[in-house]
Amino acid sequence: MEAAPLLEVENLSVDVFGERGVGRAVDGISFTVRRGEALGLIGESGSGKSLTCLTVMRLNPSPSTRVAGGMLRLDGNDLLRLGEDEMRSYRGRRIAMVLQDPMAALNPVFRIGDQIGEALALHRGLRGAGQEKVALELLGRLRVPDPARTLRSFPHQLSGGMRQRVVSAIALAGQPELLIADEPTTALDVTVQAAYLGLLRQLQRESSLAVLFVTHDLGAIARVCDRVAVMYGGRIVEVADVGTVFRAPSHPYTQALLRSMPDVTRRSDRLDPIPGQPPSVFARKQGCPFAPRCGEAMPRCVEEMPPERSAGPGQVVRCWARGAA
Amino acid sequence: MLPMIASRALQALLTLLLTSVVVFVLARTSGNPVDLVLPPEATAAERRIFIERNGLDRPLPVQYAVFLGGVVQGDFGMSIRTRQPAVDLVLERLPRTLILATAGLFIALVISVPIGVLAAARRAGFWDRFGQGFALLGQSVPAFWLGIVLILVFSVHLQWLPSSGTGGWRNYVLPAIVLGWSISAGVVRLLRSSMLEVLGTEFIKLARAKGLTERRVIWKHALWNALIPVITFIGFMYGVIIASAVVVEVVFGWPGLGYLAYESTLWRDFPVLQCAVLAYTAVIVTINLLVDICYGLIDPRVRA
Amino acid sequence: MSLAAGVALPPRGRRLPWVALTVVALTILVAASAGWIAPHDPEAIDPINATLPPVFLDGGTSDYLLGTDRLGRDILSRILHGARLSLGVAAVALALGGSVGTLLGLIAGYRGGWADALIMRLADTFLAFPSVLIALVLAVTVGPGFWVVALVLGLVLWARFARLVRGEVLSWKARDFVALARVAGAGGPYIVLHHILPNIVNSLVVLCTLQVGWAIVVEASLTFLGAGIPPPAPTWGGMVAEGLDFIETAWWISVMPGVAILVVVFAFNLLGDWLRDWLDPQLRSV
Repeated sequence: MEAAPLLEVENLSVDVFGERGVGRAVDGISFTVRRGEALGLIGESGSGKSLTCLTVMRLNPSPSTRVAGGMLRLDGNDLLRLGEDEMRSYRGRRIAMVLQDPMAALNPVFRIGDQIGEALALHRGLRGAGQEKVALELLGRLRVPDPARTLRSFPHQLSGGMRQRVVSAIALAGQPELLIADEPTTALDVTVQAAYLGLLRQLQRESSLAVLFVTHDLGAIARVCDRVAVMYGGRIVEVADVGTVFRAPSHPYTQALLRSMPDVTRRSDRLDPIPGQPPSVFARKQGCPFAPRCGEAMPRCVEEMPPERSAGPGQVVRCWARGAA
Repeated sequence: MLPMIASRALQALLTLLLTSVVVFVLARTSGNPVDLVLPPEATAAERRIFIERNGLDRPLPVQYAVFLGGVVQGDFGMSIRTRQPAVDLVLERLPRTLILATAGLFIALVISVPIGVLAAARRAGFWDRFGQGFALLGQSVPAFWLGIVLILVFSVHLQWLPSSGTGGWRNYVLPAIVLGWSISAGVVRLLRSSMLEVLGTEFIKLARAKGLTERRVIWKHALWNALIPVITFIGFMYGVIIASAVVVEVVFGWPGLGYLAYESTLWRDFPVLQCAVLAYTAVIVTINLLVDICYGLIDPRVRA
Repeated sequence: MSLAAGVALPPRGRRLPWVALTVVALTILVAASAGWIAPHDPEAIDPINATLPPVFLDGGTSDYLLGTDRLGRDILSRILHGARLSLGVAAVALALGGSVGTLLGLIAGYRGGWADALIMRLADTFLAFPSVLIALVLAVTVGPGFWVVALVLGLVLWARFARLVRGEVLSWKARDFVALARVAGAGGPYIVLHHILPNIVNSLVVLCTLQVGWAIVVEASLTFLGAGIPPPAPTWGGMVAEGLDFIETAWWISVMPGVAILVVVFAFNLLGDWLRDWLDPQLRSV
């Protein structure tokens, strides 16, 4: 049985205003994250995935970006219609976020204890000794060695991996239903990455947390996620279960992405980088955004964006050369 | 931290020495130093004693050594006008200037920190325009003229506040406002740009993602970081304030160090002026040193 | 987030600062032609017409639009002639401080090492030192005057230019085309003059414009203290000082020249801010 959808994104579009004009950075994307499920959102930098995350939090930079249309529902409530105060009561308590760069995500002038405590006081009304006890528990759950000393430390005294755990502890402090992790391991060393990803998967399973996991690393997706949405040029081009994506990728971009990934289990040591550059936000045209780089492009591809089509059980693809309507 | 303080202290001492060299060389190479340091009615015998004691017939470096020897012992010569030791006059006036300058700094921060913060938080909105207008005006209105206009309005017409002299707290109001004004523009600009930088950081994004109110994000998380460059600048600003104090003390007849320097210029009382200039430099250098040391109190990264 | 960082605000219309441009142009024009357009001799004493109020007050006459001071000198004529002295001092000081500071900044930035350390330490010292006090000492030892004021201003200005230029040189030095020129065998001075200097001209123009206002204010302050341009020359700072004792009875003597300072300095700063936003957005902190 499928779990109920927690986050529903429908036809979401976000515009970006720059010196070269207006660009549609997120172009009519739709996906859902079910309760207790980890959905991976994968794409190259500039594909619009980070902006999507921020928009779900309603923290997309203003006035340089603006939601142009679509719907964002959390548990049936339309987030785009909430007032600023109402939306704030969602942040941290129902939706929490882990940012890309743990080195920069903690306030350098406050102690770790204050930064975790602030969230505990805000979302759970905890103060004093009770607050400290829960903060220690949180750090313990995230396997931070010597939590008591960590609470007294300043961010610059911790390693990158420890900081990312602290950021995660802050995110979990409000006992959220949905955790958005925006490239949480990009800035970490490889060995630290593996440990963090394992921990994230374990926490997600333990507390049946819904996770929206954003990355450009297919390997990380494989460790953490149940399903994957592949984003290219502001659009979602394929959605499928993790197993399906690795076994039978459908969209030419997804296939190219897999071929460009180093894989120690594969005999061939050939890596195929994708030729060309991802399109600039300000230079997008109608049609499939991947068409200029696609080996299978047809005249129709540059004229019209393909609709969603089924490519197999639970696999949806937007490509004229794939699937059936 | 300690080596840093030591190197800063050394630089402070160098600045002080450099100032004394400049003042000394200016005094000894322009015209007749005897006339500059002794009163016009000094007798021939007094002049001879002065020449011998300071070795005015000997090479300049030797003269400087003699001068420095005196300075170290607190001997800056006698005031030409009052015949008192110059250092006594300076030390008597110094606290009044320090109090006024500190009050000015306080007023400047109280006025310009909120403006700078609001200008950054409401970027391109009313407060940003207001802040930029305020900063432009602050740079364009000379302190001495603002002082006169304030006297005209608040002392002459409204008769709310005294125009000159010392006494109660009311005497501090106008001069301290004018002094504060002289640096407010700088603080607003600095804080605005520093706030804008901080507001774009990841930890502000995280603070918002935590669900904190915008007020808490700005006034706690952002301001506390944005203040760091302002604090490092306080030493410099104190220098600006103290320099403006010369003009402001003259406008308001405030008997501080600045007024003493002004009077000494009018009376060509060089020993007092020389001592005042060195006292000024010592104050600025000391404040800068203190700021460097206190820096770690707000920025934990330096403390380690 | 990589995306939002590079994206600016929605473009806004950038209007020319017409008011500021007009005031600056008028000031330069007035400074150049004060001798012809001033209605009276700025130093002519006329005891019968002493302390006349401006034309818009009771007792004012259209002969003396802004009134007269206690010696009966026409305030308008003195303000017009004062523009010449104020701009003159600012120009000399900027030429002095700008050239020395740019040269030392180029050396410090390109050479690095001990030359950089020495020059920048020296610049910091000069920046921290209150120019008012140097001016007072010079007024007593050398005697006050036009060139002394220009020198004092130059002493502070060179440090500001040196700092700016050094920073710019450091950032341009790292660019590829400079490295290419070096690989191609170009010498240090050639690279600095042909590859680096042309790129920092914009910043220099902006800094100059922004410093004109500062120089005018400081010159006026020094003259106000008697350490600037000595009387009877018509200077804005000197006029404010002369009116100080008559503030209760003849406020216009002090206030009018102050308004002139305010308007001119405001215009230069406005123009400088605008130029900075237009030519050199990186220079925000100056």
